[in-house]
Amino acid sequence: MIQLKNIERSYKAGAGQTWVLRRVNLEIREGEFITIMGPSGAGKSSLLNVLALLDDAWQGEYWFRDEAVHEMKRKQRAELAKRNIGMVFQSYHLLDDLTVQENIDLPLSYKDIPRRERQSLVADTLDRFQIVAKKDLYPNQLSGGQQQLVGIARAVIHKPPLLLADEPTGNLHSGQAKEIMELFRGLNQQGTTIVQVTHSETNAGYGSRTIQLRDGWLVGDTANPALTQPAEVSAS
Amino acid sequence: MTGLLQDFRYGIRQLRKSPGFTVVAVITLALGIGANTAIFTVVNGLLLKMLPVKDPQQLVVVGDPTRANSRSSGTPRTDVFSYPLYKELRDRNAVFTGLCAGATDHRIEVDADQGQSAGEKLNGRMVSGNYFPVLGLEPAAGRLFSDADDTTESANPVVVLGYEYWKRKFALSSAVIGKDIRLNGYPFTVVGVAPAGFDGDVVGERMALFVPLSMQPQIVRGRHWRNAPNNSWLSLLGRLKSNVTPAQAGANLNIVFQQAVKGDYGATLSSDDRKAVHDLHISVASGGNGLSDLRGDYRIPLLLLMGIIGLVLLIACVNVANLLLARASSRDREIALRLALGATQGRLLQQLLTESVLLGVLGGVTGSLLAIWGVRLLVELLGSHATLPLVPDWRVLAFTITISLLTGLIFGLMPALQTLKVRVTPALRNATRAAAEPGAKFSWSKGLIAGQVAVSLLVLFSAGLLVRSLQKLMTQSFGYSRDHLVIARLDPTSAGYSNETMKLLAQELVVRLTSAPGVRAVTYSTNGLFAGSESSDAIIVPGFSASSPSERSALEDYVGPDYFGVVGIPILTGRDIRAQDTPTSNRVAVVNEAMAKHYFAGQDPIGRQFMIDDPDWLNKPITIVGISRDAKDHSSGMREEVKPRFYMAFQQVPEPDQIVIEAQASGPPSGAIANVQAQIKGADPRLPISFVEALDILVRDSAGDQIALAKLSTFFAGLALLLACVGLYGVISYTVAGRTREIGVRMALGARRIDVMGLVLRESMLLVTIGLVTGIPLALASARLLHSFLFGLKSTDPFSLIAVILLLGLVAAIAGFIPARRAARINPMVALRYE
Repeated sequence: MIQLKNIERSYKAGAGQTWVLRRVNLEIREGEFITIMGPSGAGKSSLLNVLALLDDAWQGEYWFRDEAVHEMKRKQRAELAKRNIGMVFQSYHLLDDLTVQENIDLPLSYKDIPRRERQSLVADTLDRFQIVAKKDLYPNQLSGGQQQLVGIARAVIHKPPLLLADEPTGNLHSGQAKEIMELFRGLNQQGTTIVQVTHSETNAGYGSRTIQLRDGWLVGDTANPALTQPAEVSAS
Repeated sequence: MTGLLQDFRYGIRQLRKSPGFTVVAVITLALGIGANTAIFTVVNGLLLKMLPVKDPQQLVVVGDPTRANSRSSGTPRTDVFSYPLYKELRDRNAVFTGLCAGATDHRIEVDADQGQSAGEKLNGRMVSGNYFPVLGLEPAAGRLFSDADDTTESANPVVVLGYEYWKRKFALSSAVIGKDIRLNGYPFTVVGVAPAGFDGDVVGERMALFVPLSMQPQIVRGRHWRNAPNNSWLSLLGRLKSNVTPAQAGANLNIVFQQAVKGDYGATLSSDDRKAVHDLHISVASGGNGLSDLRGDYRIPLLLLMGIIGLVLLIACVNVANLLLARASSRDREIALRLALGATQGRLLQQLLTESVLLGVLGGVTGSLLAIWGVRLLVELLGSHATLPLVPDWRVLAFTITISLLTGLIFGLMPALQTLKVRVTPALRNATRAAAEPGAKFSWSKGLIAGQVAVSLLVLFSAGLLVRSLQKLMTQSFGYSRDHLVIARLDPTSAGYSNETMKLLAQELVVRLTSAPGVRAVTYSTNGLFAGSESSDAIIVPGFSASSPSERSALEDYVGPDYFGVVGIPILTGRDIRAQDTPTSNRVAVVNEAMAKHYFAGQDPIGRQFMIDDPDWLNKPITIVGISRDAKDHSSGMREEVKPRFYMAFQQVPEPDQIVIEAQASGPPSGAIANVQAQIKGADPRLPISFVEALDILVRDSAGDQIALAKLSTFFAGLALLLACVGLYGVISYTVAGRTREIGVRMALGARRIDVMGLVLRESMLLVTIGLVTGIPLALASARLLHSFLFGLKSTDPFSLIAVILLLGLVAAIAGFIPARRAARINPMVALRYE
């Protein structure tokens, strides 16, 4: 589904540069449930942002279903992301002034989908996530778990083949986290490719493959045990 | 009010900490306060400032204080007075300790050094002998006048110099006392100098000298007004006896007046004039602030402008309030901490208000500096050559301090109260969050912005109405083409011409001017077009019965041959005045449509006769030979329907009084002015020329107050618009900054840049729409105040309203577009990192 070749990302820091991703090579196949792990500052979220096409300023090759994303213009990338990617955030990022129903409708409102069809899709999603009773509530009237449920519902309403989740259970207690992870598992079983960033080994256990990042380098991949660590990292 | 000094120090530190905020707030306030101070300085100088005389509050103006320069030679009047009537009032009243009189001449030729330098033409005031004693003035040098200096006509050739003239011309030297200077070529002895600061009793006109009323024939040459009951030329100032009110004085004067009409004074009037004055009333008003023609022209425009500029200040206050509200959000932690440490709400309110008052004072000080320049600009825009007393006094100072403090309280109170609504625990726990998300406090800002748009609409609509009204006034049909006419007013009487020689002079001038380069055709008249003088008479039309004296009155002019042809007023029936209309031929007149309609409704007036209701004219019928199209030819008539007017042959009237030349230029009139002037000088170098000017300029001058009002209201409406848009821009920018996360989420979920721009623009346009919807009824209601100023349109003029709505909408869209574009450039990845 996705092939990353020699992806690099850095930020200017004073006179020099801080590297957050170094020569990352990664292949994500359809239907996988990948967990990205690593200590803070390893580049997990940066990699997720590259995958989500929220970040433009990387170097290397990014292929999405044989399309060369690295050759695309910003507008084409945004279009590709809109069609294929759903995002789930650690702090949910629900809009405070919109109801549950309106929050879920948000991604559809940016597509050319007739209102009637949108309403039907929203109704289906509310039903599927069993939050029909909450549809007119505002985010601050929901528990953290419920808010994340809405966040996931919003991420998958347009049926994206790829779901990216950045610490989806980071703000939840273990009971709520379990429910969310079960939900991810279900979605994965229905065919959605999932990439999650987490610190939790338990959550990683729900996935089919784990990759490890350290200081921007891809240092481990359960699908590729032969992955050799770069010299700088092994030396340290 | 404990700790005020501490609050003051802290306030200064706060302002220094955010120099950007401070500069923007101070400039915004300075614009508002400066504009208000500037207009108030002019209002103070023209309307409020007291004359620098003894106990000015005891002075009253008898007659109309705005007619300081009016002269009339018709029916006696009681807005300005004849000398005989002044004497009656002065000698028989029981309410004044003294009643003095004055009249100004603006063109006294002064030769102060026996012809060694070119003479100047200066303002001088002819005053009664008791003028200085009534005003309670002491001389700066020599002596001032007494009754002994104003005895009989031409018997008192003495002059008191104005202080400024003395300073400029004689360097404050006392040696000038006792010397002779020549006024209009006549020797006058300098007896003294008026005190410093006293320029005369007419506000806006600085008098270089004062001469006794008895010397009027030497000042206004060729005229003898002193004993003529029909020549009204004096303005009166009286000093009330103690415990007498102006109303009581008025009552007493009117009794004295009616007794005079029945007595010796009345005996000098014609029976017709006696009837006319019977209904006249003398008004008395407080006179401590002197007389002023300008006051009549500019009082209402200035007060209207004060209203408009007050609204501009309100808009400025809203901007600063919004800035403070924005800052309030970032001060949650500080305020929470102070509350947690035991500060009371009242104590914190005092601290916050001290800061805003400090800003107000800084704005006031900067605004006062701006006002110095603003006052000059205002006077220039008002188009006045007047020397108004515009030096700021205690009133201006008090005004500026008051509005600075009030402004500080007005824009500071609401943000301060909002700031104090902070919830202590969450604010202390999560300072950054509180700073990043303005939350509910900012909805106040949006409300204020909507209000600001509403007020801006009001100001813009007022300006729009005034501009459109002016445009209609100036582009209306005058009944003739104004493009190519040059007008010159001459005063042959003061150069010694008799009525007969004046008529010959008029004929000679036509011959000379017709051959001048750039001049196509020439005629002359007594009043002419926009030359500043007007005449009217009661007339008798056989078969016409009038229900009131005003119905018998018609305006008149005495015109030269081919007047209508040269000026371009079409003759509809009959003929023009011709050269053959001489003193020995039948008296003829052309009447305008209004006169034909009023006096000869439904009948052909050609060949019909009428008479002027004056003993000299009775039994001298005038035959109507033509009907001319109604023409607007005087400033007073520009806004009104054309009134009945008849035009007699100049050569057939016994006393034509003055000559107004109408020259048709072959090219632009500006090119012909110098030639016209040269030809007049060529005919007689001594001939006083009041002016030679293009008619268009005279028309523009006569609408000076309206042009000034339109210009100034447009200027201040522009300022209001600018401030409102800066406010909108600031609030939307701040909202966008506070919504970075939300915009990031939306973009992460697929929103395109255009969607984000639309989102932000929609919000700003919603505020504008709310403001407009609120502002429209407000603007329509307020515009009623302008009703009397509008010409050719109603105060609900839809065109003006739609135009200003579109303008406001467009400018607001631009103001909203900039933050919208910034919002669209938000990098979602960066935005989401806010968490």
